[in-house]
Amino acid sequence: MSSVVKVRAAQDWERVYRAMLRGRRFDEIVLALQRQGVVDSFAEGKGQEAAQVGAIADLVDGDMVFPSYRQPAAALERGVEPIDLMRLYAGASFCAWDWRATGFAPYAIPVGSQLAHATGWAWAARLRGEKSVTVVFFGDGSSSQGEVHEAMNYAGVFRAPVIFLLENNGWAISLPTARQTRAESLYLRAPGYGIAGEAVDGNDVEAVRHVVRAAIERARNGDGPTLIEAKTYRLGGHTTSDDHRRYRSEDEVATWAEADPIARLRQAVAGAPEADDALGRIAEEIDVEMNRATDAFLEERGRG
Amino acid sequence: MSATTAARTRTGLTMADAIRGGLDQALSEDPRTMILGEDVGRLGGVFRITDGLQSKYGQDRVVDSPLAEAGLAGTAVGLALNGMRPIIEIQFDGFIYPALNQLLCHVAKMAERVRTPGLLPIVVRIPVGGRIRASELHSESPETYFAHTPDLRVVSPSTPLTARALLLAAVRSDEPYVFLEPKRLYRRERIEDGDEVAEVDPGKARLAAEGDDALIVAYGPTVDLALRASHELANEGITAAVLDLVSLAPIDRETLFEQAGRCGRVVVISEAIERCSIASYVVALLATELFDQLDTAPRLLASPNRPYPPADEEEEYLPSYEDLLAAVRKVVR
Repeated sequence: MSSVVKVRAAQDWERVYRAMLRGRRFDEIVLALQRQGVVDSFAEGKGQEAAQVGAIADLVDGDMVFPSYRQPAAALERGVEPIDLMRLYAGASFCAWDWRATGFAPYAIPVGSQLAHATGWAWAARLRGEKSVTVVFFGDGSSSQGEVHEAMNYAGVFRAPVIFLLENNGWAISLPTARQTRAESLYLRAPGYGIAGEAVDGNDVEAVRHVVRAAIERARNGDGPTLIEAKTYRLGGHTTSDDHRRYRSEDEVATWAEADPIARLRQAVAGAPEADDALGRIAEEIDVEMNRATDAFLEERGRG
Repeated sequence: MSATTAARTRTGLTMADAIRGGLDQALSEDPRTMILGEDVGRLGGVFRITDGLQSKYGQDRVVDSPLAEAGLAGTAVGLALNGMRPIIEIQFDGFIYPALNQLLCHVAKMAERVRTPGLLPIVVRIPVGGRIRASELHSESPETYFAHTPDLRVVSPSTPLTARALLLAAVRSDEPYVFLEPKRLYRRERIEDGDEVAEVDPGKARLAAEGDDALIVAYGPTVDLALRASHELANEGITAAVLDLVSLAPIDRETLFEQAGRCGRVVVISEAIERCSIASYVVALLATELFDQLDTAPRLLASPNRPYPPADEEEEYLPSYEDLLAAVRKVVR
């Protein structure tokens, strides 16, 4: 994966940049809270913000998102309140957010089990003649699960308007993708289901949006599901209980850190005075927003 | 449908007919209700329970699914979350196992996960039980797995009298139900159309035969054995009541304790393997909650702790009619 900046910012880059940065800032805060013993454990999304935000940036009202358990940037962009997501990691609730109102389903812990839910949800919408689209996140590890295969096959048979967004972040805890599958790319499974499949640089938010928009159009037109493999990288551990230095090299992580999706978008837009102003302003606003949420959360946990 | 209808007119209503009638009624009264399963459409299911329903309601409401039970159950979760009311048919008891991940992790847990009761109105229909000389994994009694799982309701009809009403109660409920159909009894008993019970409480046990000397507690495939035994024992001057549990989770403790306390002598019979079973749970409840009112220790008849055998050995393996007669004679002696 090249670290050359090839990101071309869209007109509305501020919106996706804000969403990605919000996810990143949330990650940093919850990681710190875990180290302080305020939350129990946390699955970081660091490095995968472009894949997550790019996958949902062009959804509209009535569309639905099914996460796995590592989509903080997507959750917040869907309107899940940061404090509600923090409650999950603190053991206060399994799903404190209004999943219907936000269109963001509860996290699914059994890996790969959520794909069939997305298929069923999308199919129900199609049966009622609605034009909504469903996006479901999963990973390279869960791609080995039989239920993932079944869900994609059902979606193909019933032409469910669903987008299977595979965040291939290189590692399923300690197992690299090369040991997860002999296949060079996981999107190549799509023809096996008679559905569309594409791979994309998952650290290029505009590239992700581009392929997702095409998939959304297919789904809304009744042309069925799409499997999209967003090639990205998990910059943090599997969870806060993990020590990823045990199974991967610092060089590898450093190489991918150079392809940080947030930095890439920033570099793509920086230079113009207006853009520089916006970058600064967004960062400040995210800080204010996140600090407010963190204070409220600490207060609630008796740590204010 | 026509061949089946003709057969029914000639000979009365079977439990298969009653369940089909319930499915038909469920589809007609709520457009959100769907039936999904392997071969349930044109073929009418391997037991013909859905015979004629696809031609009546269309391929979007009676859906032939791909041959994949986990996908079936998982898709039903998504359909139900999005406003549909799926009834899924599992072809045979032994084929439910691939779907256990979805049933135990999601069907049973989703409502509590989001603290929203009545979130998943799903009915999982499974033909269960043995004594039909079937292949391996076609004669299982998997009820314990479901009954052990909080927030799954588990019910089993045993007669055409109440099967339709029980199915409709499960379908109309907003809670997930596992509906276990004793396949040996699908076409065994026949009743007149008008004798069908219109409504039942799916959480209540049913007193299937009166008696005072002993209580036989049974459910699903063993209820007809219990009724036969009760009938035969009457010739010996023993009146044995039969309690059909109907609901395996939750157990209707009130009726169980009332009837067991009244009779004082209890035999529990089940086709399932005894270890950690519904039957052993019933005995445990009686021992811990009703000890003072029992005249003698309850007797438990169930299958031994080993896999269901080939057909030639199934009569040896399952608790027999003779075992049941002997057990009742023993507790009343």
